[in-house]
Amino acid sequence: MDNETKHLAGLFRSTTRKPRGCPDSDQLARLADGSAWPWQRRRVAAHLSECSRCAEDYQSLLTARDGLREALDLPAHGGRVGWLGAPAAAGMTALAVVAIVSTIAVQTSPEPSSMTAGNATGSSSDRIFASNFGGDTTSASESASGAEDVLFSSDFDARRGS
Amino acid sequence: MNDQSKTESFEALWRRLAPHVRAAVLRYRPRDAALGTDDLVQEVRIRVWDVYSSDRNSGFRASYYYRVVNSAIVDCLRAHRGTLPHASRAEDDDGAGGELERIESGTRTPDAEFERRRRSRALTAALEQLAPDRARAVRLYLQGFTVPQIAELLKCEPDRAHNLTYRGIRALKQQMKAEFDDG
Repeated sequence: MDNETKHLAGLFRSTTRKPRGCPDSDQLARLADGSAWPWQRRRVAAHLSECSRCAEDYQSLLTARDGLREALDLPAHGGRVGWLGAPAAAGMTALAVVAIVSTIAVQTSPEPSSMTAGNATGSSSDRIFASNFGGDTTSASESASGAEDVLFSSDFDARRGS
Repeated sequence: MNDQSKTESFEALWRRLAPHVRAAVLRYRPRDAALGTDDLVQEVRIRVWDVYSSDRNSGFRASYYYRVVNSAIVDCLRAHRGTLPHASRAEDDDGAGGELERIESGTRTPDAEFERRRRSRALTAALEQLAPDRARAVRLYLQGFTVPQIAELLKCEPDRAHNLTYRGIRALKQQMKAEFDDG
């Protein structure tokens, strides 16, 4: 920081030395350990830019952050997922696995484009749902035009064409 | 765990924590605090011990203690800020009492005080003219945060924080220069 910037910084800090609506110590502690919610982080960060006293308090915490984490056998800040991140990451992984499994199941299904109630008889007259999400347009348009008992039909490609 | 072994385990923990707590307190120990650094560290220790002694089955996690220590440090710094009455007035740069005191004591002349206020208003106006992202980064930089810390607070890449900060500072200097070179 050059002299001119130092002068500006001193001037700025002297004008922002008026504590008002300061976050409590727990909010600063949460920000320091990375467990603050995003909206809390934004709000506290905005306050730190406007309040030199809270900025000093927070910088005190940053001074000791790595040492305290090491003393408490916690992983270094920044390299961890966080207390909320770990379950969230696990949840996302589980969702991804479910999505992949269901995609594979749909692809290996004998009749992916339609779900029929009359498969046992081989008749398409009591079909209750027919859908073609961009797949086999011929069969979908056939089923939509030919079967009176279709209760719901969806064919995005056909609609786009018309 | 009986009382004695609990005390011993706390002492072992505190030996590891104490140097870092001391460093944190020393970094911005209020100049107007009536208590010295050792006393402030001792206050933090008492607060941590209160939590530790209530932790019957060692069920609290290390991350909880980390937050307790941080919270205790901030509370301690805040509680003792301004406890030295005379220094408290001098510290209050914008308060009318501090201003009068500085002028009366001869540490700053009325002209110098007027000039400081003029520059301060110009700085505020110049900051308001910056783009919001730049202004946020510049304000944090002027508060003493480093670029990586700014990146962490704004949740952006360090390169972006660097660009926002330095371009903002450059623009700020240009505006201040234009304001005071003209007038």
